[in-house]
Amino acid sequence: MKDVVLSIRGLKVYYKTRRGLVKAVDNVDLDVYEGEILGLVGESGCGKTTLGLSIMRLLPSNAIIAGGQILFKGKDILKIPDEEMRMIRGKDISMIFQDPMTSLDPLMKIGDHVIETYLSHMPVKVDEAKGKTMELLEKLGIEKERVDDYPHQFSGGMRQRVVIATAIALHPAVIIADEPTTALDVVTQAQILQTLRRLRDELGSSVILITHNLGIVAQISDRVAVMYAGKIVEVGTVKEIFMDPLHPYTKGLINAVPKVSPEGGELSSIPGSPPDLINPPSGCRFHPRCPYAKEICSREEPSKKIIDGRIVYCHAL
Amino acid sequence: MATTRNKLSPASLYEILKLQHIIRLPRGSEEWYTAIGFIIVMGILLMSILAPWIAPHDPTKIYVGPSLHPPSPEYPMGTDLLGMDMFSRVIWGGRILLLVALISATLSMVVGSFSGLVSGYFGGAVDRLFSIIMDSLYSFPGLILAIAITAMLGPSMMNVVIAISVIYIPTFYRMIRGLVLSIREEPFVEAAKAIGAGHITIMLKYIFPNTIPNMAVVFSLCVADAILTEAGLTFIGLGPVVPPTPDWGLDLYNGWAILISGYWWLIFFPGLFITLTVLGFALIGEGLNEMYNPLLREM
Repeated sequence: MKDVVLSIRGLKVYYKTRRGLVKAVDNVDLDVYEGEILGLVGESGCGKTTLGLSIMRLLPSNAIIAGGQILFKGKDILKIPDEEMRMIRGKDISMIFQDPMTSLDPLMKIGDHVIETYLSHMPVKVDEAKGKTMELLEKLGIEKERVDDYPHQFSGGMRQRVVIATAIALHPAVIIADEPTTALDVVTQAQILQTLRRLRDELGSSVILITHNLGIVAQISDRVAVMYAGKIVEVGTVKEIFMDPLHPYTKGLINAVPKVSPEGGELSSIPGSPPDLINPPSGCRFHPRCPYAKEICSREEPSKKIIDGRIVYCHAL
Repeated sequence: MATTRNKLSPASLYEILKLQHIIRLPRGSEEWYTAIGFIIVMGILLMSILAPWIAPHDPTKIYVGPSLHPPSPEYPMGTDLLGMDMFSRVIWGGRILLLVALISATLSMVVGSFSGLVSGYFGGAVDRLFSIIMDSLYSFPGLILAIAITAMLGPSMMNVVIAISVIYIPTFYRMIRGLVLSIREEPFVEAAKAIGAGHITIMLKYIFPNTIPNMAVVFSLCVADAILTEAGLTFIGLGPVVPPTPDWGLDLYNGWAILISGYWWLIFFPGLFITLTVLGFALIGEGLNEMYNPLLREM
């Protein structure tokens, strides 16, 4: 087994809203190993993005971290001073955002976005940073003559490459990719994913791939963590999760993936809808929708079970 | 992106609209009236800069012609009570006015937008403090506040500049603050934070440039308004100049005193040039506003 680079322990992130506390991430444990691509999947609003943002410490101002630790290189990054955290962002942990259309400043040149990463962390001259930027963009398939173009002159896929360039410029240990391909068409999607995988192989960075697209996860992840209503329900390798899901929710999720076949076929879904995170169901949060629910499920929260090296939270197993 | 910006911009648009009482124009021909505005402003600036060479007479020399001579080929704008050539005085008369208006509008812009940037970006207690100060300044009618400040400090060029800049600081502050509040929520700002950019970098490199188009609009309208305020101050004797310095506001005052006797040319020409200058700046501001704010086009 490889070394753990990032370790999340008992993390609780709540949002203060007028209606009450939204428990977006509740008591989550997760380990990220060196050089792996970890898929983080779940329905919309289950806390995937919140988890990603808490690792960057870029949560919105109404969020509170109610408990837990995020250990990176032996340090709890939830406790270090802001300035120290700023030095980690972009250098050791970086993030690729969802929408390449809006994550570039319309008034800044393509190259300047990437140059900024170098300037923020290294005592380099602008010329030197620009040289590195051109090299990097070239590697990502953008002609270096285009560093002086503006974002509106780029297509979605190319912009996402620029966003990726800003994130990987300093070879961070962990890259959080928050739905990096959602806004792109399938062909561009495949190219971006290939790029991500190639970078992982070359740089040895770990990638946390946040997505609700199981196809993408199956294609490029090594391990998968499934989230439901602010909690992790199951963690395992891609093969385990897709071939032999243990948790009833994972089973439902995999069944719900539409198949590409000319016969069409039944579209299956999980009955019910995700719970309100202000008043989540007692016990196991999935029990109101679970076909295997027992009496204990509504009473007690399932604890972590390790079955053949896989982590799963379920009473039925 | 556009949606968030548009959603929040009414606050800043309000600032602009408030200044628009100066002039309102039909929509759809903004390129034309921006161009006309530029021509007027350029013409007046050139005239003021080149005054020593193009004015036919020394503007402060008395009895270059007969007293109170009506406009004629020799004295195209007539002469005043002391026989000074009005044409030369009008050519010279915009120099101080324009200088004061431009300096004070620039000063307001610098102070107002810097405080707006800090206030909007950091929020919290700083924001509240700045907002209270700016709102209380804003609640005074501009000219009255300027009169109060100049009366307090005494009339001099420096004090008039201070008085006029104070009036327009809140205008810039409120517009920039409103814009910053919406721009700082843009994903590209979050992306900048994610690569480890510091506060100063984010403010100056990511947020500030996005406010420049609106700033140009407000600056232009502020200059127009500042000219009126400055002329107003001079008219009531609190201006930066004393006789016999040529100045449109001062000449307006001098001519007004004896207007009743029918010497119309004494106030017509200085008044016309004040109006033209204000019109020029207002046209530029209005035109730029139309071009940069698609929202206004539908209004």
